[in-house]
Amino acid sequence: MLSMRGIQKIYRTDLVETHALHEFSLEVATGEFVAVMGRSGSGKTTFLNIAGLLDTFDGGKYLLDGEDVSGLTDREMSRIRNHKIGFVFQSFNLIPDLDVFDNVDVPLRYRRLPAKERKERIERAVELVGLTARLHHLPSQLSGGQQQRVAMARVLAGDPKLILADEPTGNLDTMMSREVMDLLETISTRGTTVVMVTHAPECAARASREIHLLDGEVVDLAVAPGEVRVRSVSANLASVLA
Amino acid sequence: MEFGPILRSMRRNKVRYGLIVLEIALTLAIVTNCVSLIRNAQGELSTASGFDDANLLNVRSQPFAPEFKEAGYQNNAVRQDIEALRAIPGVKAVSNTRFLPWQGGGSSTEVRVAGSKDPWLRSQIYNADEGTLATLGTRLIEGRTFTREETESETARLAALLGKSRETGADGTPKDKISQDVVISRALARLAFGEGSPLGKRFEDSDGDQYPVVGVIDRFYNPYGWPIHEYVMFFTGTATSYIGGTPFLVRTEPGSLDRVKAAIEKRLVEVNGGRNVTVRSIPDIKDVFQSQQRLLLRVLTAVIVLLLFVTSLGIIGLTSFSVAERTRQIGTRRALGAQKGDILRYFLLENWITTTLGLSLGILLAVGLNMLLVESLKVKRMDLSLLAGGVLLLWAAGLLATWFPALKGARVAPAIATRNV
Amino acid sequence: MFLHNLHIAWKSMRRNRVLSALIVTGIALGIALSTTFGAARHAFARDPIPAKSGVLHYVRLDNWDPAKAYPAEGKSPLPTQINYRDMVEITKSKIPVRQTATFKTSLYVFPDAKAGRPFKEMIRLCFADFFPMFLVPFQYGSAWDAKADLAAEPVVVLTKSMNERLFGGGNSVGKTVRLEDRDFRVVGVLADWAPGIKFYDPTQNQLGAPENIFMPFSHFIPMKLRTFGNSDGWGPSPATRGFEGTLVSEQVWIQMWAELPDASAVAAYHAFLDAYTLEQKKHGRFLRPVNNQLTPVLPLMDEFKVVPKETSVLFIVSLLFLLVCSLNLVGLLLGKFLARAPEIGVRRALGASRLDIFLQHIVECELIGLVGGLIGLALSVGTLSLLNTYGKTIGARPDFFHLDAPMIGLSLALSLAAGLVAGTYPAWRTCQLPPAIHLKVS
Repeated sequence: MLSMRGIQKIYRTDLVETHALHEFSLEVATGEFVAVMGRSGSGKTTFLNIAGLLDTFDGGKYLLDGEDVSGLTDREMSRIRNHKIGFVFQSFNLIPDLDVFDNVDVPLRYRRLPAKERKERIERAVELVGLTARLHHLPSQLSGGQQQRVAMARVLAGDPKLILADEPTGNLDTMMSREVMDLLETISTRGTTVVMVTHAPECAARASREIHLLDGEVVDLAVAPGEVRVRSVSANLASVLA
Repeated sequence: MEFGPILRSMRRNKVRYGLIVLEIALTLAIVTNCVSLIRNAQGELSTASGFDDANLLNVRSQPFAPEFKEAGYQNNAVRQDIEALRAIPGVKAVSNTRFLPWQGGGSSTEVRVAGSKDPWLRSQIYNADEGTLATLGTRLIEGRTFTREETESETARLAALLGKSRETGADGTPKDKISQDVVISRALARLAFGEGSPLGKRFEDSDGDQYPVVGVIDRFYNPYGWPIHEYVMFFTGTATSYIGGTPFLVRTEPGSLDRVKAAIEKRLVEVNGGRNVTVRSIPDIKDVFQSQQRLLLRVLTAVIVLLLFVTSLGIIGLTSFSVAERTRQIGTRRALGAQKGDILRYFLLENWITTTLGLSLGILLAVGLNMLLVESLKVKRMDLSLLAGGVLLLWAAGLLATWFPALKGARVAPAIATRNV
Repeated sequence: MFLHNLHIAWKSMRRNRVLSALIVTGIALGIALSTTFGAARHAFARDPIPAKSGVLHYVRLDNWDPAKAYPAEGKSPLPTQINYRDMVEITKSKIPVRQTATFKTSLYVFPDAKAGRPFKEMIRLCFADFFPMFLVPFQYGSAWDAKADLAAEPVVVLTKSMNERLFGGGNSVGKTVRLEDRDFRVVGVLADWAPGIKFYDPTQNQLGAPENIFMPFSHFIPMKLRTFGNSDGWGPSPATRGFEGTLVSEQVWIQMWAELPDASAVAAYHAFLDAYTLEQKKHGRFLRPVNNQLTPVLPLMDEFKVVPKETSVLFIVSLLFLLVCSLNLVGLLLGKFLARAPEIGVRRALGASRLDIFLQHIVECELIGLVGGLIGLALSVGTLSLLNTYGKTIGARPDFFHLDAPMIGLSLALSLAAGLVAGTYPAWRTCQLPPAIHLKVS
């Protein structure tokens, strides 16, 4: 699904060059649930930005879903993000002036889907995260956990091949974290590839594989690629997905 | 396209968008009404008098020598002056008349169709001589004008009649009625007598004196305090008095106005030194008369330009703020797959909706303000095409003012989305 | 606290210079425009004689055509001037502490041969009271006395510029001026006197300069003068023609003023005029209902429309313009303040009350308003001088349009008001920001 070979990312200012990623290589197979760990400044976010085509890189080769994405135009990158990638952010990144329905709708509109199909997808996705009753609430009227679930509904509605989650539980308490992790796990079991950046070991433990970053390099592969661990899924979610 | 979500998002920021809506509404109302006032002023400024304004001079001889107090001496002086003026190279025609175009007034009287009980009509009234029409450059379209002999004999006849007391009859008006032939403007003929030929028809004044119409001129326009700019009666006679002096209108060949103007004073003082002579050109007089209107025109234009500038500034400011405030949102949208064009379109559409709401309100305000202006300044009603023009202008100004901040928004990097505050 | 707020406000303005410049420019333009048109209107509407405008009364009698009223606007229109015979009768009243009948004419002035050719000049005829009534300042000598009025003594008062033209300046009291065929003795020379509005004769050329020579009204008869102002009549021409006719005709051409110090004097004089017209009715005159009017200076200026409507309209337009500028400001300030939310969160957490935050921001708005207002005021000096240049035919004074203390006050008040209008909502929104959220996020 995701294949990075010798990726380099250098941030330049007038005085210093910082190698955010140095000869970074990583393979993630389709359907894998990978947790990327590391301290602040280890290059987690840079990796995520490049993986999600939010940022460009300075060297190396990156194949996403078998497609070489180096040197794509802004327009092509937008398209790939829209169709193949779903993002879950630490601070949810819901649009505060839009209600739940409109927030989930945002990526679908950029896909130029017909109104009827959008509506079906939105309602299904919101149902999956259990927020149907809150369809016309504003983000400010929801708890942090609910907001993150709306963000996940936004991902689900787009039916992406790859989900990139950036500290998805970073702004949540334990209860809410668990709900969100359950959801991610469920999505993963449906065959969607999930790459999650986190520094919480209990979250990383839910992944099928953990990767550790230090100074822009992968230092340790805990689990061999290709081997997928499946964990139990909470009963109600399993029934919804079934 | 994103109409619904934009509108819903705007509704959650009512005050902010409401301000711009109100601002655009006021701008439309002010701009269209200023343009309407400008058009009115331009209309007044560009109305032609029907005379050869560019080549006309006003000459005023103001006597101080006591001989001038004697009527015979004075009449002789007028005749001499006319001949002297005609002899100046570059002079095309000369007239001794109290009529002075573009001074912003003149003299007027009330008359009505003789023998009728019609309401009194007010008309400008001036003396004329054999040279008046040729000097003004206006055309006689019917009947006749006056001769030198007639001008002089009429002057003598009237002086004799008015020099002594007139015996009044039972109705309080003089018993013996005076009759004076008049040449009138076509506009006055139409007003008093309708479409047919007015020749042979008569006016009368409040003394019962009679004014048979002997000629009609084509065009006459002289702005007056009352709305009688196009109505005039010319009777014949010499315009001269010791106190009031002697006025002349001089028409020059094209291009010789300045040369003639410089020569006149010296020549007339040579003819008779017992007086002062002042010469002004009609273009100068017209300039003074119109200066206030022209000032108004300049001021209104400045107001419009400044207002559009300030409103654009407002839109730029607000959109910039919108963009800055939504940087993260834009990043998120980009991460979720929005292309740069989508972001640009979002802001342009948002602005277009705001502008359009403002313009709808503005049309109401503009019409209201115009009704006030029509009431207080007696100007013409606003042309609806003007409103349409204002709407287009502000649409364009709105899009232009949004363009640069929106472009800045479109350039927000998608990686902003993963940055945690 | 206020000084502290001011300090914070100043630092805040300097921090985001582009935004501050935008904001200040907007308000400066609004203030410049409204000050310009406010001052333009004020140039016409200004009280020309503040010390006495309430006690000087313009006198009018309605001797007009019984068939129809005098053609003027208003509830009970009446002739704008009075005729000679009524003037003679009503000036016999002792009720006014001062009074003058006045009109202007045009006469030839014959200077010394070396001072140049004879020239025609506008002359004002009036009573001796004219000068103290209208507070006309003298440089040399004084007005003539009541005796000169009665006897038509050959005396004149010259303006400063006429004194310079005829005698090259200096104290010319006692010197002789020849007007037409008579010699007149100079009894007084005026100091600079340039009322913006020629309020003492509202009938013509209200913005013109005063006449340059003044002489007793009583010369009217011996010199057989005629008015160079308006002269209105109605009905058939009078039987008596020529100069003698004007002495008895109903033709109106004289401006009449009475100085009435208080309400009881006004009432008494009004009663006197009414009694006079009732008496005249017995002789077949004053055929209309009794309608005599005593009008103080300011209402008179109103009635004679001294202020062109265009200037009022432009002033209103400029206030709307200022409103647009203020609305502009609300948006910009909202942006500026809300962008500062984290800082406010910290201030709130450190113990600032909502009121403190509100006041801090209002002070900043007023500072912006004031800075914009001062720039606008400076700009309006320029625009007013432009108006004077392009409108030089409008007023007699080269500085007809200018700023005076009331206008500067108005301008500053407007800028503070604009700051308040623009700032209240943003400041209120800002002080409503809860402190907690922003601390947590940052």
